[in-house]
Amino acid sequence: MLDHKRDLKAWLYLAFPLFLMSIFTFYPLIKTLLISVFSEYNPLTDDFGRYFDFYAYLAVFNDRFFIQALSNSMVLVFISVPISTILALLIAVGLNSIKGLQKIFQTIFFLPYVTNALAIGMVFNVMFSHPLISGIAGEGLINTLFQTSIDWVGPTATYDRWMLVVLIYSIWNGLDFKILVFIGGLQSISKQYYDAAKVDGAPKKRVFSKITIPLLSPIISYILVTSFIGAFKSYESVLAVVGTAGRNLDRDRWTAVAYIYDKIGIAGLDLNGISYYSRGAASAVVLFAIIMVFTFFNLYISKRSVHY
Amino acid sequence: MEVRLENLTKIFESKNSDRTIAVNNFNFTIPDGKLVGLLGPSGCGKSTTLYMISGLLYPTQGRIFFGDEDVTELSPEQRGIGLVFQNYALYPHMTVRKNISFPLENMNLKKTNIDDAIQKANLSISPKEAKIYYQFLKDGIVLKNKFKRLESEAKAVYQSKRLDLLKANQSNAIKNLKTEFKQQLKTFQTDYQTALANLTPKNLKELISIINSNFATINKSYQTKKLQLIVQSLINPLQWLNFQDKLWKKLASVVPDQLKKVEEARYKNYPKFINDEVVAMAKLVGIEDQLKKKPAQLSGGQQQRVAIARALVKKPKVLLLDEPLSNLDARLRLQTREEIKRIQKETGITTVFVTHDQEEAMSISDEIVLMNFGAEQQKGNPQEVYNQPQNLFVAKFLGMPQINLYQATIKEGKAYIQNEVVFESKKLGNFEGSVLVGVRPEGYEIDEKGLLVLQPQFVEMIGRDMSLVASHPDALTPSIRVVLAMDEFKFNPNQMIRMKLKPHKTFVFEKDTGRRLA
Repeated sequence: MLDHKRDLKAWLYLAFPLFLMSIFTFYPLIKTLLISVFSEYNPLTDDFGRYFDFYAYLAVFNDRFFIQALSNSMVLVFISVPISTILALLIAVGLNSIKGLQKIFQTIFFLPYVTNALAIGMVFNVMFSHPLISGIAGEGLINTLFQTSIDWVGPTATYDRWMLVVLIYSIWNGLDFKILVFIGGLQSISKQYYDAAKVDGAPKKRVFSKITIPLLSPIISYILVTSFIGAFKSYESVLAVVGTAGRNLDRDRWTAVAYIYDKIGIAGLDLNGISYYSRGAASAVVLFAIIMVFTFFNLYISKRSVHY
Repeated sequence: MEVRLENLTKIFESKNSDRTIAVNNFNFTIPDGKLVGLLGPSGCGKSTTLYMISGLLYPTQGRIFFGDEDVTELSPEQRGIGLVFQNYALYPHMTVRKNISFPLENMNLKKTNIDDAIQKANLSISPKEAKIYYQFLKDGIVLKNKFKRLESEAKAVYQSKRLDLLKANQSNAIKNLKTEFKQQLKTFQTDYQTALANLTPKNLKELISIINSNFATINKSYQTKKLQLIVQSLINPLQWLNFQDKLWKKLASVVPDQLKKVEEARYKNYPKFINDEVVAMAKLVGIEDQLKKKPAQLSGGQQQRVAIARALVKKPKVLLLDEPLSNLDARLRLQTREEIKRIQKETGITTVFVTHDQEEAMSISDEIVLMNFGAEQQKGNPQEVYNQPQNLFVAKFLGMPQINLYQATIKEGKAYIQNEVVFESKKLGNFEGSVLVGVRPEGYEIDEKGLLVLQPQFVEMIGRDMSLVASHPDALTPSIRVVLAMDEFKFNPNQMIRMKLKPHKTFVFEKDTGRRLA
């Protein structure tokens, strides 16, 4: 009886968020799935059309720009996330071990977090800027500093160059939150373990690898999972850093989300009679599936190696 | 290993320049192989003392000796101590096995063993040169520690002076002090360099080259044989399993006698050695069947044993226990108490433990030290300290139920309570005035002619013990406790009870200082 009553109460608490989630999460999710399998979907009239098929998926996978976009996203995920996590960990350990000025440094590292991502991206864009016709405008900060005249982020920038800038930006931009969380985690590790390690004669390196890292592993795992997901979904950072005038992205610089965003902006059918909107939906489903598989894989690994 | 504490002082200074003297000029010698309990109320400096012995805290002043060696400036692992923390501090992510083996794995056994063996080999190959060379290395370390000590002492003096000036708000004087201190450090540095130069043998390079070349001549022919054997073994796939062990068996027959120890150290199976040590230690403390578990899966008593095993596995010279029983329930406490005593007896290791529980301290210690306000109050055999407390604090702290205290006056060597003589002693001499008389609860005898009259309140029975709770107008506490034998007493709340005091259970203390008079 008591249990039943408690159940009722719990459902009551859950009702409101569930209601919101059904409108803003579950319904769109299912609708997207449906749109992706009706290749003639018309977004203006919300008409699903006659055909139930997988042509939208076929079209997406045959699209050179989608493959490019997906590979751009992958580069961001697999390079920026590990590097920024390791960097954040080292910085957090460093910050945690200094005595004076700790608060000031903590604030400095946390500043980017409270700053708008687009604004920071634009600052990067300006720092790396390069005038297309020399003499029209000055070189950006980086070119001036290194006495070079390289197009880093402009329309003539090579893949390696703009990707490098985007990576630097994503790594740096990811640091703030990670450092904050890591410092919190480090400070919650009991000082006793370090005293015990001192008595046990563990050198500093071993203390870090055998005590700090394992005790921090739940937090490291959390950070990794959330930042991998975040990196898969990155869009505005790339847009701000390497977008051209009017904030449009070159098609070669699309990320997966940028591709989706572009496709749902076009109403109507392409030459093969497949709705652009369905293609957008199909690519969204593909991205969703990739993130899902990857996250499960992540959780599986962390279950085996993380100490809770 | 005997542990000697000389004039040990620890002062904690907080940011707002408050000073707390945790330990004040503490002197004590812990005899070799004995179990010593540091006892005192919380905040008395007993844990600070323990942590100073461990090396986790450095003393502000004073010296710590292990045997003849001054270890004051050494780190915990250099001192060779084992420490069991109050709540054990077992690494939660490691299995029990890993927890116990962790100290051994940190020691880099292979390298130290090989180095030791090489040193011994050199001493036998080129005795004259090697002796000078290794003596120089040893003296160099001693010298370095000596200057480290000088530096840390100078630093302590500087900091306490600075604090005084800071309080007096004399910034100029602080500046002078700082430059003076820096100058002092510089002189230390130059002194150290000259001392080191004096110590260095003039033909150091020559010595090293002689030692090395002698070693190389013996080693050379052996190395070629060894290489041949390795190649032969590598060719045969049957040899690949346990390669090192099999190789060593073959090498043992060709290795020259002088290098035998070195090669033994090189081919010893260290993982197996560590495992054996861990298992032996686990057996000693009785947890050999728990090795695969994580600490969280163990009971409090088992965790305690793991912590002791981890502390003992490196074969430390001194074992330190910080409130070892405080996290256990009453029954387990009794059991673990005996267990600690047994382990200590079996290993014969000098052990110091800290506790605020007098019963615990008295039951297992060979010797106890009572501390209060960072200073020693009394030390000695537990029963002696109980029987002959030197002051009021000791008398009050030891004994359960607590000692009963009465206001009394002394006249002509006799103690008067309510104008009746309850106690007399020649030790009182010609002291006159008001004092406190303390009587242990077991120090009463019911006697018709007794001169101490108590108003009984009620009787408490706990198992075989009966205690009478009573009151007395001159008692310091509203109620006093008297432990009586069951059969000698019939309780009647309306009848006053006359008591005689047993002289060896009765003490007289000075009122202001708490000093014992008789």
